Amino acid sequence: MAPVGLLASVSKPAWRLGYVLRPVAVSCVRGVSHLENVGKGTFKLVNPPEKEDKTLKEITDKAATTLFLTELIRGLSMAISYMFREPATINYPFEKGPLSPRFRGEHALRRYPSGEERCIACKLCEAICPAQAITIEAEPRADGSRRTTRYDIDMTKCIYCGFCQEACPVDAIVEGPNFEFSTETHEELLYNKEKLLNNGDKWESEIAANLQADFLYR
Amino acid sequence: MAGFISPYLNLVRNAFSVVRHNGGVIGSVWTLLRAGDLREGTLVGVDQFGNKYFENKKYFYARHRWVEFGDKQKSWWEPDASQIPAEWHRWMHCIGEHPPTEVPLTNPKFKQEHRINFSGNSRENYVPYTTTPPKIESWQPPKNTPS
Amino acid sequence: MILSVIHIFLYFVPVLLAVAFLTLTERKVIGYVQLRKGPNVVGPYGLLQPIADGVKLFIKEPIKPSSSNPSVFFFAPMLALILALLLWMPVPLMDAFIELNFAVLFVLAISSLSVYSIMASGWSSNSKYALLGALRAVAQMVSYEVSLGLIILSLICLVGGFNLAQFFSAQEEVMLMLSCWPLGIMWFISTVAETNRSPFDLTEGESELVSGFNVEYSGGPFALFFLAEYANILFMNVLSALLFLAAHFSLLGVAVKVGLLAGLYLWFRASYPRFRYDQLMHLAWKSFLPLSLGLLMLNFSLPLTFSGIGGGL
Repeated sequence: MAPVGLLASVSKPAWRLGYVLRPVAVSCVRGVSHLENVGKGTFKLVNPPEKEDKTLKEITDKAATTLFLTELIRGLSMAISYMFREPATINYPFEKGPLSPRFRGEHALRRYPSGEERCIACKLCEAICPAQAITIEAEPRADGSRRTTRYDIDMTKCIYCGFCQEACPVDAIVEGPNFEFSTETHEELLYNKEKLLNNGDKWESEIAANLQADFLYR
Repeated sequence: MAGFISPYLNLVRNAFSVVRHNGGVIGSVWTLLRAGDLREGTLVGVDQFGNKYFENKKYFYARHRWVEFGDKQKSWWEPDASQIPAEWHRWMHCIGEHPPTEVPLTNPKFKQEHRINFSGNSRENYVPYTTTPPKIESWQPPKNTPS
Repeated sequence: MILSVIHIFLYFVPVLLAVAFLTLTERKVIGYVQLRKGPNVVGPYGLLQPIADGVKLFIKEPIKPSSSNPSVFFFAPMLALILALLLWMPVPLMDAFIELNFAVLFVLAISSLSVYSIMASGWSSNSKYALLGALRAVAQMVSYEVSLGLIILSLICLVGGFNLAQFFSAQEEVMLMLSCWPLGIMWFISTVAETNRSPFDLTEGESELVSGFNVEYSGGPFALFFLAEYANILFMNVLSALLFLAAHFSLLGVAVKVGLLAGLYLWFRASYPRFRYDQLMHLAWKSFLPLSLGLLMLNFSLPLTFSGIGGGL
C-alpha cells in the first residue's frame, strides 16, 4: 500500500506540470481523481513491496531458498507426482467415450415398421439447413404417393446442428449415434438417398432406442 | 504386519488372475502388444462377429466397458473402431445401461447386417451416384422409312 | 579411408538414434505428467514412433515460401545439423574423434556459430514470425553463452587445462558439481536456456510466434532443425556430465548421467511455465553474469592467495 501512496503524493506536482503542457488532453479529466495519473508515465507496482529492514535470518533464508532452488524443487516434485497417477485417457478403439442419446452423428433416413420410407419430400430440412448441405428432388411414385427421387447430403458441408431432424415432421431424417464414418476421399462423403436409407436400416434398432430414451424431454 | 503386507499380496494375486484371464503369458503378451493394456473383466456378451464385450466397474466411467475385437470383420491385429454393431454400440458408448443381452433392442424386418467403414477399400467402399432418372432424354431419330 | 568413414558413422549414428528416441521419451514423459499416455500406437508402446516421424518428415515435400531466399533457406538447416554434429567431435567417449588440446574452446566456438544457422533461417524465411523468433533465439543464445563461457573459465582455472580429458583427472576426488555448487546449477540452467528449452523457450512462443524461427520449414529441412536441436540438447548434457559430474571415466557412467540430465530437461519442460522475456534477460545479465564473474575472480584469486601457505594447494 505504501509505495502506491508514495507514488500518488509524488505525482501531484507533476500533474500540474502536465496540466500546463497538455491542457487539451487534461482538461477533460480534471477533477476525476482516479484518472490523475493518466499520461504521466507513472506506474503502479504490481509485485508485493519488498521489505525494507530485513533481519539477518530473513536474508539468509532468502539466499538459501534461491541458492538451493527449494521452490523449484517443490514444483518439480509436484509434476513428477502426476507421472505416477492413473492416466485420464481412454484406450480408444477398445474403449469408447460416453455419448448422449441425443448425440448428432451420421445422418440416416428412417422407415416405418412396415418398411415404407418415412420421407415425404416436404423439403423442410432442405429449407432449414444453415449450411445448405441437403438437396432434395421429388416426384410422385407409381402408386401416387409423393416421395423423393434425390436426397443428397453433402457431409462435408454439414455442420451437424441437428436442425434437419428438428424440422422433420415425420421423423424421417435423423442424426444417428455413429461418428466413425470418416473417409479417405471427399466424394465418399457426398451421401445419396440410398446410402442414407442403408444407414437407417443398419442403425434403426439403436436410433429407435435412443429416441425412446429421450422422448420425454422433447 | 498382515495389514501392511496384504495389499501387496492382493496385487500379486490380481496380476496372476489378470494374466490367466488374458490367456496365459503368451496371450497376455499379444493382448499387451495389440491393445497396450491388460485388464480383467466380466464377459457381458459376444456379438455375431465374435467381438467380446467386457465390463469392470472398478475402472473409471468410460474405461469400465471395453471390447475385444474379433477377426471376422477386419484383421485381428488391426481392428477398426467401426466394427461394433448398432445394438452393442449403444451399450459401448454408455448411452444405455443395459447390454442387448439383457434388454434386446427392436429388430425391424428391414434391418441390415452391420458393415464396417470401408473407406480406403476401393472394392467395398461407398461411391456416390445419382438416384434420379435422367431429366433430359436424348432425341431418337424417327425410324420411319423415307417416302 | 573406409575405416575413417566407418568411424564417422560409428560416431554420428548413435547420436542421431539417441536424438530420435529422446523425442519419443520426451513425448511419453510429458504425456504421463499430463495424465495422458503419449504416442502408443506405432509399434509396441509407440516405440517405432520416431522412425515413423522421420520417414514422414523426409518423404514430405519441403515447402519454400515464395518470397524466401532459397539458397540461404535450405543452407540454414544443413548448417544447424552440421554444427550440432561437429560439436561431438572432441568429446572423449571411448576415444575422441579428434584429440584437441583446446577442446573446450572448440566447443564454445562451434556452439556460438550455431547462432548463425538460426539467424539465417529466420531472416531467409522472409516472415515476421520467423524473424522475431530468430531474433529472440539469437539474443537469448548470445546472452547465455556469456555465462556459459565465464563458468567454463572458472572451471578451467580449477582444472588447469582446456582438454576435456583433464576434467576426469581433476574430479577424481570430488565432482565439481558439489565443490562449486552455484556454478554447477548456473551452468545447468544456462545450458537449458542455451538450447532454447522450456522454460526458456521464448523463441518457440506458440501463443505469439507460432513456432519461432522454423515456422516456414516443413519436411526434411524441418527434420534437420529438429535433429540439430535435440543433438544440441544431448551434447549439452554430455558436456555437463563431463565438466561437472565426471567422477571416473566409464562410458556407461557418462551415458547414465546424460540420460538423467536429459530426463531433467524433460521434467523441467513438464513442470515450469515459460519465462517472460525481460525475466530471461534479467536472469542472464543481472544474476548469472555478476555471480559468475565474482566466482571467477574467487577461483582465480584463491589459489594465488594461498599459494604462499604451501601444502596441498
